[in-house]
Amino acid sequence: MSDKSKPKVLIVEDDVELAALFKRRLEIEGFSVTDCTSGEQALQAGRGIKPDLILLDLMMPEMDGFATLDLFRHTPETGHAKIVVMSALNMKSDIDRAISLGADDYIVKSQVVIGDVMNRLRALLGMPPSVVSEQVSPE
Amino acid sequence: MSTLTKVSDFERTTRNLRWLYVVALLTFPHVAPQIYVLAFLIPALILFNLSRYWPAALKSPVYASPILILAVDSVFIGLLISLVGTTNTPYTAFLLFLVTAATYKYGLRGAIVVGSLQTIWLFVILKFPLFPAVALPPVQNLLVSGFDLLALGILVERLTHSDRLQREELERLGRENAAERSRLLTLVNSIQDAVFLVDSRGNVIQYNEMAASLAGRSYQLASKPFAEVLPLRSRTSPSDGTVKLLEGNASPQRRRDLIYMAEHGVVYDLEIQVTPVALGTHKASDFVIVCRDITKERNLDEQRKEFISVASHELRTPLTIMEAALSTALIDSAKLPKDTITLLQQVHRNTVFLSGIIKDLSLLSTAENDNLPIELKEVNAQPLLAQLVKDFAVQAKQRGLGLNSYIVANTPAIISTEHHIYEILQNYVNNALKYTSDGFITVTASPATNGGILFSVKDTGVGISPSDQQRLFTKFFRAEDYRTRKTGGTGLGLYLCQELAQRINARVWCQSKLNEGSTFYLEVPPFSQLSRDNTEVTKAQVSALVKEL
Repeated sequence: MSDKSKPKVLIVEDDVELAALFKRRLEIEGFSVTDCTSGEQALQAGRGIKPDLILLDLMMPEMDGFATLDLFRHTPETGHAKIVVMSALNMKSDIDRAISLGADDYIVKSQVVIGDVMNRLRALLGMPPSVVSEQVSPE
Repeated sequence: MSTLTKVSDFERTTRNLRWLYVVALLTFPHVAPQIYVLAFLIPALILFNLSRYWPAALKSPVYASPILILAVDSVFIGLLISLVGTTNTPYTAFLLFLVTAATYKYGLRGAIVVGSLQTIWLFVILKFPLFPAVALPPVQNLLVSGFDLLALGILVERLTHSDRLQREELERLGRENAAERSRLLTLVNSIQDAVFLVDSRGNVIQYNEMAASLAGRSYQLASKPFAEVLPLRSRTSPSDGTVKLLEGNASPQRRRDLIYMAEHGVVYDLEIQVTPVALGTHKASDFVIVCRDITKERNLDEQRKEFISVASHELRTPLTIMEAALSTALIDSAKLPKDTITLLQQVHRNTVFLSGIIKDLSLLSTAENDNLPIELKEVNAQPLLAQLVKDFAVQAKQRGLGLNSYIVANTPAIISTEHHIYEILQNYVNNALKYTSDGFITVTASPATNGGILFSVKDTGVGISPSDQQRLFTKFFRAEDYRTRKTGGTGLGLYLCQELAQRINARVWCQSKLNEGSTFYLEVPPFSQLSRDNTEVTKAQVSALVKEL
């Protein structure tokens, strides 16, 4: 698969370790990945790469995820991208707020394993479930 | 003594005397032979009055005024005395009896009225006797005087005897009352909760020492309105407080959501128990209000909840990274030695397991905080059980256990929260799998007696001892000795089931026999009413559903 046909994913996550992990995994799963550690950076990158999907954290220093999400939706280059919010926040009010701001899916970090995240991203992009994830699913 | 005016007391006291007089009338008719007819008629009338008319008249004033009978009898006796011509006859003592009877019935007033009437009548009779006085022989004269004295003596003895008994009884009761009162006072005062006795209008009647210290000792609390003495406010709704607590309360109630703001801004969390006092009349009842200070308890509980919430949150983040890293590392592990892969898989499996425990903990802390989202919708047993069997099929097969579901005919659809029910059943099946080494697990849904669904998960496992069964649904309970545990788990599963069940008004319990297996039950009502704040939402959701149907 050439680089151009690969779906483009933008990761916005201030936890560098987690961001790197997701980048690695998504690359293995066949995505083209860009990662940013702040909202401002992400908005700039989004305009450049026009991602198919954005994986967005909520709790970040300076500009938080909600504001970033709102701006993504009002930027022509990222307005139509699928946006998945992934956060440690599990309150219904936070989930509702993210959905009302235009998030396509909301993943609570603690309630899923990485294999699930991959499958949900793939489902949003109309792709079949991951083959690699199946191999390592527990038990 | 006013209590002696009762007929029964009077009759008891005078019974002996009446018989004495009957004897006297028959044995001392020492009258002139020419007036035998009169001498027979008058005693007959008196006898009739005494035995028939008096008791009836004393019991019920319909027959006649008793004082009138007393007066009439006095006249008769006067006539008898007139026949004899002297007061030295047993008939004189008869007059005394009548005065006594009048005193019983009417007190001093009766004595004066009947007494003066008799005096005047006697005076008239003796002044103008019907016959000349019969001179009695000295021995008989002595006997008559003796009889008079004896009659008087018996009368006085009967009176004072009855009176003395009553007085002693009263004194004894008084002492007993005082002792009882002192016991109760000590009992109530040594209670470490504040206790108030409040009348139906909400005014304080009595209170104990703790109550006084809770309300501030400078007050005199008696007869003050309870609402003023202890102004209470609900934690959840400010309009709900003391007034509502006492409104229309025929049955006991317990509240844990009320707070009391004392002077100097000290806030108490109180558990309040209101119990109506049955007074045995149609009157509105009094109330006993017991207030227990649960401030400390609530603080501790909040700290504990916060700790679990924070700890589980803080533990999650590194675990998420660990799981993601291991999962990713295992994808391109082809180059690694086989042993290493096995070890990595082991680490990964346990990481996922640990995440599960922490997920339980955090779910629990949100369940306890009433923060879990609740959605009401129609729930059917069929798809639910199908999904359950599908989810656990692999696990059951790996352990060599049978797993099947069975739905009894006419099992209704209910309106409830599906994922709570599912979570509970998952826990049940998970436990059944853990504690069953061979045999099968059956999940059943059947119509419940309350119109909802009764779910059960039956296994052929190790079973649970009766003592363990009682503590099964408590927090952190594990049936096994922790040093020899063979199975994993936090001991939170069934506690979580209980918490979740409470939120949807469902009931959980279990039946078990050691070495034969256990059956866990979940009974869900046809409509799950949600507590407090969710009620409005529930109503809207239910009516929307009804429309849809």
